[in-house]
Amino acid sequence: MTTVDLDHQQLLIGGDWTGAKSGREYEQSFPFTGDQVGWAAAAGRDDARKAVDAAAAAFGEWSQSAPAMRRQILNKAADLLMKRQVEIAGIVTEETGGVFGWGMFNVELAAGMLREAAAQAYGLMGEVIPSDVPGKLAMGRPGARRRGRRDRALERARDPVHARGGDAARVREHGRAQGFGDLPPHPRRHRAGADRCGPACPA
Amino acid sequence: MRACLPGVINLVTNSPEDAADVVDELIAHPATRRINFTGSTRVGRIIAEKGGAHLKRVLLELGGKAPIVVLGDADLDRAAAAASFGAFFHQGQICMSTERIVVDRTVADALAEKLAERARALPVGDPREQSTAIGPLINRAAVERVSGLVEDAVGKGAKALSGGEADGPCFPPTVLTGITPEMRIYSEESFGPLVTILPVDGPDEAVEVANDTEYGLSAAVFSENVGAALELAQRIESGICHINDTTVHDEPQMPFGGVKASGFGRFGGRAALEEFTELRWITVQSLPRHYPI
Repeated sequence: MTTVDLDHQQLLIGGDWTGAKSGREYEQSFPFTGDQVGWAAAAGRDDARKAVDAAAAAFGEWSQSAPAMRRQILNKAADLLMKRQVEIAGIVTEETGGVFGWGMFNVELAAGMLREAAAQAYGLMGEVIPSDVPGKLAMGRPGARRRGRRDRALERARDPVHARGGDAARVREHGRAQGFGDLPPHPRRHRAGADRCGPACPA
Repeated sequence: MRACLPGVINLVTNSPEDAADVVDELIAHPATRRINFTGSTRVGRIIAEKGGAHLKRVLLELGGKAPIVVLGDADLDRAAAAASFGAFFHQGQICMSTERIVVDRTVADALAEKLAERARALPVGDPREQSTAIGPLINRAAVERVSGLVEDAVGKGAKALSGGEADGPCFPPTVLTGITPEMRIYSEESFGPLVTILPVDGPDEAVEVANDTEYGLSAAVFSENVGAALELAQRIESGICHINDTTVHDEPQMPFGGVKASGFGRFGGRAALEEFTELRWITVQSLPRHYPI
């Protein structure tokens, strides 16, 4: 990995800092004085295509990685950003004319966004929606679902106090037939079918 | 030190004249599945059209014309402080910036004077100085655009209670009264340190004026009667509305986004998770089915 040159902002493609294919740059100036404060790579079509190619190539491994790893990486990125908060706020002032507090606020917000994304690493959940077709287990929309009659029957069956007669065995059998396998014990709500699909899942 | 896997995050910068080419390529690439754009409504429309041509979902966080509605019973000192921050922080160059103070006529003059007093006290100048509150606008064109909006308004009868004229690369915080719908500033996003005072008679007219804009990103309502403020907040056409606070506020876990010409889609927390994933329907058929053919 190459290092970052703050006076000549490069493109980041596939983990490498690189200039534009054309070699062109554009100037950034300090709005208060008009003085030139740095240069940035002026990407063209080829660079843009390469960047998306690199993202697509990285997606498979990233999407299959453990949520714990993604959380750790995102939190580490937030830590690294906050370590450089003052330095970046200074650059924000030079490039946008914003006061120091504006840059500090933006870096903190950006770090917060990374931490919030980290917190969502385990956030993808699914739900079971009853199907009208016998023997069909349907899984779908993430989010809360309403407790239905079957939920109540399942809970009753798993509840040693309220289970009566053959309820438990009957409901467990029904659950197995539905493809749930063995039902988790009461009082945990079952999440038999969690449909997970990572960011920008290839359809 | 690095945090990420190579290629998961890529960064492309471009010169303004190459923007159309670069954006075309990013949107058209078959691997691109979501387009998230933050910027002007003018460019947002172009991005939405390009996304539509490729049938790709677009999230847009665009311009705004945020109102602070101040009811007759509001704490005017709090409202003035919130309005001053909302209108002038980062020279008003924030999508959530307060552009309009929709205020009950009974307290309009008092609030306008409190706000103008704050505006006049804000130090304008070199943003590298610690004491500076208001730095320069982003470029010369922005100074000209903001000056043009004020000249148009004043030429049609508006009055600047503070500021009103560019000072080199800076534009001092400007409070404008006597605004009519014929003035450009009434409907155009200033994206500068300008705020207009719009007196109204009662909450119903306040809602009408607050909604009389193509934009709908952020809004705020000030009242000591939180119930009335909440009722009013529900009638304002905006993605975000804060009661007894300023319009410039963002937190990473909140569902941030607008309606109307401010764009669509929500960023932050669970809302963002849903925006950037595909909801799928998967079934398991455990019993054999009878098919009609």
